[in-house]
Amino acid sequence: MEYKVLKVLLRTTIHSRLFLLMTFSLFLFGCNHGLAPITVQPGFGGTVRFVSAWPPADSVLNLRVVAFRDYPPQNIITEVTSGSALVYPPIAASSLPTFVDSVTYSFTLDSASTFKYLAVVMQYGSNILQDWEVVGAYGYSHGAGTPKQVIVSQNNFLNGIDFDVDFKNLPPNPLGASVSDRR
Amino acid sequence: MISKICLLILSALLFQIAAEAQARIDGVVRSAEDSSAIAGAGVVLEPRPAIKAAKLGTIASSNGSFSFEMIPVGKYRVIVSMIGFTRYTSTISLTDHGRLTLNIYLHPLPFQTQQVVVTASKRRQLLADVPASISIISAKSIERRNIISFEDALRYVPGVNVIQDQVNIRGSSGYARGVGSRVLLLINGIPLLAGDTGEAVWESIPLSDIERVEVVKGAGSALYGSSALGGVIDVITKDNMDVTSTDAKVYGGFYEQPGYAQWRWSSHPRYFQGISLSHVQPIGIGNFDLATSLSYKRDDGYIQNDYFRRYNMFAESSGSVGPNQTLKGFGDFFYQHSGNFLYWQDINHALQPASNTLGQWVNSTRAYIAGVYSNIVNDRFLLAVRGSYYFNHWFDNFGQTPTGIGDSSSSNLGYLELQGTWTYDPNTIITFGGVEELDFMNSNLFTSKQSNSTAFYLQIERKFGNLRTTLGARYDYERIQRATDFLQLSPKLGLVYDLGGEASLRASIGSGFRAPSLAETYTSTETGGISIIPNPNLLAERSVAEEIGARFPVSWYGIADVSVFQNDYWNMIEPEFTTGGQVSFQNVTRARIRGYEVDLSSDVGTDFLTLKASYTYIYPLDLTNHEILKYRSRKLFYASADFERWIYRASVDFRYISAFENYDRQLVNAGIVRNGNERVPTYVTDVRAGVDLTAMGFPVSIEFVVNNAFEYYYVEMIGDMAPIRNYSVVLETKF
Repeated sequence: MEYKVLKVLLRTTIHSRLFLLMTFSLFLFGCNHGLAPITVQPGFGGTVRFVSAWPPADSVLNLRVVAFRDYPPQNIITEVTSGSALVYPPIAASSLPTFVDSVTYSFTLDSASTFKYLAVVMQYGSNILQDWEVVGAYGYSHGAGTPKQVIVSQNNFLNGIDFDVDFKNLPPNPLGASVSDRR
Repeated sequence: MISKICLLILSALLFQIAAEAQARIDGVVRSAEDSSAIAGAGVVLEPRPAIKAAKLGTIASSNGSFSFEMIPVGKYRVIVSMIGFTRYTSTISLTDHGRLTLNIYLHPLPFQTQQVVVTASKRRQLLADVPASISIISAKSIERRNIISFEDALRYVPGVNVIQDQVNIRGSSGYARGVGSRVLLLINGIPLLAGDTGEAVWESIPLSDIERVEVVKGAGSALYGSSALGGVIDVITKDNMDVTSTDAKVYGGFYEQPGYAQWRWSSHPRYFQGISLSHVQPIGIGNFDLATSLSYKRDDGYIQNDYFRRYNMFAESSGSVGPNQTLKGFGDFFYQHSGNFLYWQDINHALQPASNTLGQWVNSTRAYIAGVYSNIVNDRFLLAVRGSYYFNHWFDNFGQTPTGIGDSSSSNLGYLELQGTWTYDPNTIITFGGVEELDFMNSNLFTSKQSNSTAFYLQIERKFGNLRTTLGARYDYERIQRATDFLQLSPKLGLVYDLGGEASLRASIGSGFRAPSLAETYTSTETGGISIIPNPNLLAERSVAEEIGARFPVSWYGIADVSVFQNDYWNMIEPEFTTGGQVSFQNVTRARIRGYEVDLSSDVGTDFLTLKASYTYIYPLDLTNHEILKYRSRKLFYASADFERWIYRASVDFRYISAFENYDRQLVNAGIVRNGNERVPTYVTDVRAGVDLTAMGFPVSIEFVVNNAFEYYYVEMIGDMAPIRNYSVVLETKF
């Protein structure tokens, strides 16, 4: 039987040997194990503190932290879906807890990134594209301040990126219409 | 007068003598490969020496049997022929009142060009006569690979890329989780897509009862209607075998612990096991037999909460109901309890789901009953009737209601088809038919709706010398309750030129469409602040497929198939935001996929070694957004080597799939799939070795299987690790 197998191998043409060589070369790629964990996941996180009374429940539909790569932002949903902004919790997940005194958040990134504007945003109406308002922004306190950028380097996680949300003194709303305008 | 009377008496005596000098032949035609009966084989008796007009002929019945009665004694040549098999010839002598029994074994022809297919034209024909690319998966191939779920059998088919449970033929499908299918699944020519979501439920295919699977590439709506956008997959189950046999198979194995400590979430290896029992025997009603199979499969899952427990019961009975009339009835019941897994937590927790899906499960019950009746009315006309009823029900616990039940859906789908095949003359075959389909759906997600569709098709095949032409069209009309009626005309044209010596050239152009599933049209739900709303104005997706190809023998005892293709798509359905900030399924994408495919197979001049390799390149362009289509890999390379000698057998399968370039970036950008951009090309090797002791008198085989032998970590879909290295043992006995 071995003799017959050997005869077959000898009979194969240059084409079949080339085919076997190509297959074997690709075969070896399988030895590099493919995907692997990332040692330190870059990102940032902190606490959102609510320092005044919450607005009526019918205007608090959804609460998120959004990190925009550019300033000023145009539209939360289009910037998030295009990759120009990140949102926490993710869009399909439930809102951040509401009517609480504080809440923690964190962003995990795939690579080093810079964010020029970080905001706590609230959905006050049923139109998910339009009905958003900035209720807190990184770099602002009691409605006053300037946007502060966050730079995250590779293999680094930044803590202490905190917000104070004062519903009585909201920061400027670069997203356009707000709940107060609507009222 | 006296002389006339004498002549009459003499004639009567001679007639009586001749009538008494008669014999009888009974016989059966079987395949030399697996002893299965060959129905429809032509059997001819030629007197030796030849006497004009005394030639006798018949056709083997569904169990391969045939008989000739009251044959004058003498010498005859027996000629048995069947497409796909070598011709049988022998000489016999019949003596007075003799009875002869013939057991005739036909040898299958060696190469694919001589194989018989039934899907491309809804009738038996040689593969070489089909103007489209077709791949065939044999029952042996499925058995040898210890396939647990049917879609895994498609992983090494040239041009086919399986993304989890979604099958892409030359990039047709991409990935749409559980909604719609751009490939039509058939069982014995009858559609098997769920009535609510329109998805193919691969788990309800009875693996142990498959005779072969035919994969027809390119749009096939001219004969099959909706969903045959990228191609058709037809599962052919085994026919009446006229034997009594029992087959028992058990397997067990485990997934190795992942190589990275961060990914280990279980303290022990994750196990999988299964058992299946099959039995076939004649039932004493005519020549009908009954084949039944039961199977139980369990997989703990290498990913947390990605487990299943699966029960399957299949039964089939077939036989003759009259001269040249056969009936085949079959049905399947399937129940599954499975965990729900959507995406990984992140790349550092690649085998664990996001916490919000942990503990989620889905229970599914699927059942179908179907029948195929065929009647060779005369030597020029064949009538076939196909019918089925398909029931689907599933529910989950996602909704967190007090009862513990979340979403649920049920659908009832009825199908009836009447087909005629008319051999107008030796060079012209006309196939025509009508189809009626009824679908009732009841779901809290998709609302309660019903639809019915009617279709008519006509195909004319005509041979001009070496050129075979096929021209056909199908007209579909679908009505959905309280929605727009839907009309579609799907034409096709095919050409095959026989170059001789098993070589042929082919060209085809055909159209395809996919009517939106009721789920895509009527889904109404709210999740995570996003409202998904119905879109009753959703249109069908359409495609036009063009192909030029050639089949020809190659120098090292093999066969090659080369093709160049272009598929255009219109109105492809994707979920999109509406101006009101909600999400609905919309017709948004115009796309074009161009490519080529080379498929080689060879036995290297031996009877113990088979080599196969294929390479497919596609350029899948989204013409609306000017980018590569999502989840389409441009390069597929598959290679297999099978060795089988005496009691030993071994095989190696290798697949390379380039990384998909485009994906749902919104899901990654929105943080729903963390590290969703992590993807690599696929390099996977599966290895098997074992012994089959049947040749030594022990009907037992044992096989060791290592899948993903080099422990390569990859994703087929964002945030979803493909199976890691696993080991199993398969033990099988037949008695």
